[in-house]
Amino acid sequence: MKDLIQFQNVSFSYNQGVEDTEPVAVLHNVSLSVQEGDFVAVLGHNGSGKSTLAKHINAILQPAEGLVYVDGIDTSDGELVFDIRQRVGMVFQNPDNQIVATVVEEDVAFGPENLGVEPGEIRKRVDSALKDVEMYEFREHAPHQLSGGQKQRVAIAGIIAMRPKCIVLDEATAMLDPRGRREVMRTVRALNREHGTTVVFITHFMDEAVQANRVVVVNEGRILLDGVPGQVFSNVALLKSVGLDVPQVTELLYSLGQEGFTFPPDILTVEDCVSQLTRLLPQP
Amino acid sequence: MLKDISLGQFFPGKSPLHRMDPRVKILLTMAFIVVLFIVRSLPSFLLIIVFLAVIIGISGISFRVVLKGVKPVLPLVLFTAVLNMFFITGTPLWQWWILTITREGVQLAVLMSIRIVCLIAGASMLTYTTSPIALTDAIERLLKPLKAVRFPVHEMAMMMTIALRFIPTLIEETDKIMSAQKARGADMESGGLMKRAKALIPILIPLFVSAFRRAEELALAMECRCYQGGEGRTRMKQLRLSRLDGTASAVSAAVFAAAMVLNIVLPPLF
Repeated sequence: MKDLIQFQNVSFSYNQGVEDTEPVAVLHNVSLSVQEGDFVAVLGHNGSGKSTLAKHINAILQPAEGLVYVDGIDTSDGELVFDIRQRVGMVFQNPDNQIVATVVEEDVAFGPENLGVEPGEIRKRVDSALKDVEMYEFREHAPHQLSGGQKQRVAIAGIIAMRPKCIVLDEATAMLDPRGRREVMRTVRALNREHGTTVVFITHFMDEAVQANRVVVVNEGRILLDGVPGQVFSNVALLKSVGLDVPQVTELLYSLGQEGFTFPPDILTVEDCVSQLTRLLPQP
Repeated sequence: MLKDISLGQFFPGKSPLHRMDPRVKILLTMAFIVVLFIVRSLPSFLLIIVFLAVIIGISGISFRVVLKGVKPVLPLVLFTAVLNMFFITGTPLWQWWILTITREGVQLAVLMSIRIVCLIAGASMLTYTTSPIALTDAIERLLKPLKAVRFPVHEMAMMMTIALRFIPTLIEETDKIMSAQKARGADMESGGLMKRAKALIPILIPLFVSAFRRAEELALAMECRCYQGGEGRTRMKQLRLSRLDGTASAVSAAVFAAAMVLNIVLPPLF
């Protein structure tokens, strides 16, 4: 598999070069690469730099030092910004502030229209994108008639209608209720599995990160941990020391582990946990 | 509470009037208004009223709704009628002290009243049967020639679309802010005009702050979806003239022409 996104020793500070202000360093020498078709969750608490990291992927921000490549294109090349954004779509936190049109299908068409796609082809893309996010029957609704999770799925449809290689979700579930979060997560996983779309999922919810293929933990602008979920979450003490929670299952098994029980290291789902625990119970 | 306000007054439907090209509807409405202000004879008005009634019938929108739409302008109609009645000079019909009602005055009052009512009813048929987005779209396309004189047609249409999109969002937000301020003991219902106006400040300031934040985020989201202005942009929905538009235009043109001819042939009633 080839690397779709590459960070090479990237550093970034806000207020760089602004007079009378101290630059605030956010990223320190970050190197990271994401393979095509991967599903990567980026975890970190507020102010850890995870959103800043995301904004580098589609050239909203350019690195102060180091280089970011997307599909082989250097993001600091101002001429190619829109080529990058066509390859990497971004879904933001607030669903209300990223829907442009007054009708769902018109909004999904917004991206392809900007790319100058021919009308018949836009229609096809809009229909298939809305079906992919299971919002086809709502295509003529006004955005304000939809729930948060539905709006966020429309926003995702608006991105996939542009046929990007990668979707970056910048805390796209943070403002949703649990049901909306599940809807968005299911949609994103289906896209990753069925269309091979690369997903970078920025979140601070552990139960969402568990569902990724790979988890990257960011703390104070540096990458703290990077690996498959089971491996990352086994570092319970380290995660807690930087103010992050671990999934409830991990938490429970960790506490039991301290009491002297032993478990296999990579249990993440409730089902696995239940079967492990019943094994410990005295048999009737 | 505020959420219930219906905006744009669009009644979705499948009638021929709904299916017409919005551009044709705008142009025909404009022609209708022009004819309405040219004709002066009673048969012409009768023809126009019948035409309007037929249109309302076809649209499937109930007459009661249309009348309700006309209601807010009735004070204006009454006001113009009274002014016309008393201030037009001519053959006096009735006189008392310094007030005189003239024959010409009464005629003009009736004429103007019919005109205004027909104008409102006719123009509202456009907004009743056309969604705001179709209207914006049609306006953008009709104004396209103005691009030659550097008029920002696309930008204006985009602004209208975004404004329409955010009206419900901002209304909802106003509702929330009002509740929040009430929960903190803000009193918005009592006191004189000045006091109430002042009570609006703690609502407007957070609303503006949030509107600016939304605008910033929306701009970023639009840029991320490769928005670069109107250049090189295509549209999913193409407006196409159908046979329906041809028929509608022909019928309307015939009616308008007949109204004008009647106006010339018959001596003006007034």
